Amino acid sequence: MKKKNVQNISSSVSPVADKLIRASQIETDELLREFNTTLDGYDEETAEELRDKYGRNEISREKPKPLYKRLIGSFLDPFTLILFFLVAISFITDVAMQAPGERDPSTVIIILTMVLTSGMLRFIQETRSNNAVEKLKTMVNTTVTVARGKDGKKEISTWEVVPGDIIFLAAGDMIPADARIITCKDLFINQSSLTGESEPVEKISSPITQQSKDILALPNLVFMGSDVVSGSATCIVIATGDYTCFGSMTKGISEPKVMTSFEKGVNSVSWVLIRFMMLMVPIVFFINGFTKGNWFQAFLFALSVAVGLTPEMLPMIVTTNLAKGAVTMAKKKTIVKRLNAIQNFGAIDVLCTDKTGTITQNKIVLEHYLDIHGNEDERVLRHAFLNSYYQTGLKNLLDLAILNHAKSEPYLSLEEKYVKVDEIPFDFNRRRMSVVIRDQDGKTQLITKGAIEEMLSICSHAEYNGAVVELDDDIRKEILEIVNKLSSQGMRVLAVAQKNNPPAETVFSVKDESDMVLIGYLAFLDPPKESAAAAIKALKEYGVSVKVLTGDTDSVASFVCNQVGIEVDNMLLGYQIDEMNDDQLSVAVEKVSLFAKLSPQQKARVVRALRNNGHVVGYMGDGINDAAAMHEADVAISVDTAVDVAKESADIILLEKDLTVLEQGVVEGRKTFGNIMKYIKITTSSNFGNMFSVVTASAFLPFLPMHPIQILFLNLIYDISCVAIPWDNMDEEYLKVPRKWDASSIVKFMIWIGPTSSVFDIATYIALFFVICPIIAGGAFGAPGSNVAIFSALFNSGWFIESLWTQVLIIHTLRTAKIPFIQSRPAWPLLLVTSMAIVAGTVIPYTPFGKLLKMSSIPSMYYIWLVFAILLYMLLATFMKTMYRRRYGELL
Amino acid sequence: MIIGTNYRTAIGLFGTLIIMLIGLFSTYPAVRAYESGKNFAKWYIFSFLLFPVALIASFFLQDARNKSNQEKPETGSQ
Repeated sequence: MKKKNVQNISSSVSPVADKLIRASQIETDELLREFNTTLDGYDEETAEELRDKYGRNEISREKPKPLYKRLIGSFLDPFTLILFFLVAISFITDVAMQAPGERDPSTVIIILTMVLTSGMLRFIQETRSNNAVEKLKTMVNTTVTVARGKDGKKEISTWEVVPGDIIFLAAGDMIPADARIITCKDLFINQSSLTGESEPVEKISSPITQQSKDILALPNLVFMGSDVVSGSATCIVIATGDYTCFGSMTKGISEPKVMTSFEKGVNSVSWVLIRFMMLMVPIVFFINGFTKGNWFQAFLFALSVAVGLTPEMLPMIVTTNLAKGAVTMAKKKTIVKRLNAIQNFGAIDVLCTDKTGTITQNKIVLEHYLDIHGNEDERVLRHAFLNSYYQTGLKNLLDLAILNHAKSEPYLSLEEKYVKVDEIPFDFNRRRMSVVIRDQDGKTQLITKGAIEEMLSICSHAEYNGAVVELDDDIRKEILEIVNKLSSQGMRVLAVAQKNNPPAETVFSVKDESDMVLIGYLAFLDPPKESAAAAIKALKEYGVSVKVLTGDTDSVASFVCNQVGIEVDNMLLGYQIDEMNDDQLSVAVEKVSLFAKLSPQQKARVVRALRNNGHVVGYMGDGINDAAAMHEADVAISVDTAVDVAKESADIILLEKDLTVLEQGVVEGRKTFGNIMKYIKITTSSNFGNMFSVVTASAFLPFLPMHPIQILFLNLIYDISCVAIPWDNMDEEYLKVPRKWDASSIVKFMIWIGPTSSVFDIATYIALFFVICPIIAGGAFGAPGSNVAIFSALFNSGWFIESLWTQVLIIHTLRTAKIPFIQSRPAWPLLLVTSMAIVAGTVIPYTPFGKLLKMSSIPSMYYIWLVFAILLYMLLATFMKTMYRRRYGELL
Repeated sequence: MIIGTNYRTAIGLFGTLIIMLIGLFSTYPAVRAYESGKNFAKWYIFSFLLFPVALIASFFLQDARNKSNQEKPETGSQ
């Protein structure tokens, strides 16, 4: 698929392919002239004019589907299609083929009512959830830094970018448009969304001389939809919106939708039920045809059984539940980007989280700037300021903390005293970054700051007691002792080093970071979020273990973990993970709750190991170093302050800092899952029981146990009573344990519980056939003087009411593992709808509408039997669910 | 009211009801046996065929898992 994408692009799928190729071949000065711009960029007025001309920088595919398409989509599922097919057959047999006076459209009307109820409810719920999520999405803004004429560098929303804009990229940025690189430094781009290639691609700024039509392979172009892994760049935008390669691809190629285990499970249940129905219908048809001799009636009866066995409400129940979950989370300022993620949220049993910005406040404060001996030293801050000030990717929170701390004199005037010569950008392997500056006297200086171990590895000297001395083991030991002391207080420590007059070059690289002089440390504090400890405690109570995966040092991470209540019995460091094979890691990840000093790849490997162990893993991250792990996780969670690529990878985005929303998300996910399982299990077991009842009645009764129209009407009432299931309560005990899809539990439940209703159906057949109907009809069936018509009409009505009562009341019995109504109360919408269904169904036989349905009034003595039978039924169902729980440990 | 013409119906309905009731109640001895560490499926079939015997037998079952734990020699300090 991905290869095909590339081919498509190569063969000029991009509407501006020639323009892109040409842009890669010419000098940037010429390109700037062509776009009538300079490195200072357009001013706001010109940009607006160009936006009017080229439109917003958005892919038109992202626009919501039109109303009519969503409406049609709500009716397109296997069950609805089966019902439409049955409507067509009913129309032919009951209307088209009948004489004008004998036409009876009632079957068609009832089935269409079912289809409309299911489809419309699904549509309404989907629309509600879409509206809520879209409203929240507008609060999440992806931005890019552009040059805006005299306004200088300005951060704007990506949709505002126009062709010819000068944009500045740094690690973690999503690339907003197709652009040509003007200058870059150690730039690596992840183009996997376009090419499928997972390895980052190195980019350059010089023109390409050789002829190539494979646009994506051109090393001096960057493309919308990809992201910056490391390095920095200045680019000129060539194409925006639908004119980008990404825009062309998303228009021309429909990406196959990746199905979750839940979606696969629901689909497989749907098809099992359809096959089940297709097996049953011919059996019922032939048994009735042979035993009763009326093949047309047998056909209509089999058709009605087919409708009865079709759980046409399943798609509506699934969608409504998921949409309801998303709407509830939206009210808590949480965006559920994929509807299914809400169900996965409830299934997670391990939540991996990055530390900085997720469980900490993301407000890093520079607490100390110290010399080698641990004394405050302004000179260290001055060097740190120059390093942070002159680096181009000003996204790092540590840099911001330094700049905030040094925003007064004498630091600000340092800008006038130095000019930047070059920089060596940050990357996660070196964990340090450097700038090269020159003062007014022409002296150049390389200033590097970064993680302690990585800095010690490039330093040969240290400023010790005012003199530059060789960095020996004793000094190293002293440095590490001071660093450990600061780290144990929860501080993140960076080292600062410098080198005077590095070799005179204009372009510096990583190899220049050597033989440096360590001058001191910077100590930062990032306190945990106030809600973190409570949220982690609550997650534990709900069976979700929290593991911290951080690139930070073990001592800082350990301090934060202790503060938020994560027990750190064992810890694994990045290099230890690298030494383990997959088998060893899969054992280790179970015992460890803190993983420190991890690279992005190591984070992803830990998540993969947990998933391979059968866990459903959530990952909460906010940085570019989290993107790979987020991609690997079952549910990716991000926060509003995260970098673009993390927000893009996320399934769920928390817009508020309060982490207790995580617990609410887990509970909501489990409620959603529980209510879906409730419908699936109750309906499959009810259908399974009905199969026994119908086959028994067809085999042994001399007439049809219910008229086809009565079966359809019964099914309609049952469907309506299920509509309220998504709003039902779930028992607190159910919500305490992570829930994941288990298809085998549905089959077991169906086999155990289904026959219970059949027992009472058959008992009702016996009571009606041998006791009640003979009394009213004037004798046993077939006996002289017995009115067969009254006998069968009474029987049909009796079974209709018993079926309705048992089918509706079983919802209350099986919705909870506890004693219904006493220990566990249903939500009032469910109670109201099911009560109304029972009342309506019981009254109908006495009304003119009941006569239309060929029903007969039932004598009051039948209700004595019915109440007695229903009580016994509830008792037997409770007995069976208790047995089921004792055997399998849980009900739903 | 069972008469000659509906004799087949009576046998069919009563027979099915009895078989289904035995089928449902057979879960009780089988679950008890399962909780005592026995094979559920085997005990279910046994109960279905000889319900009264299986029911009584299930009351006399000892928990095999507890028993094996109890039989383990004590370890630790002397």
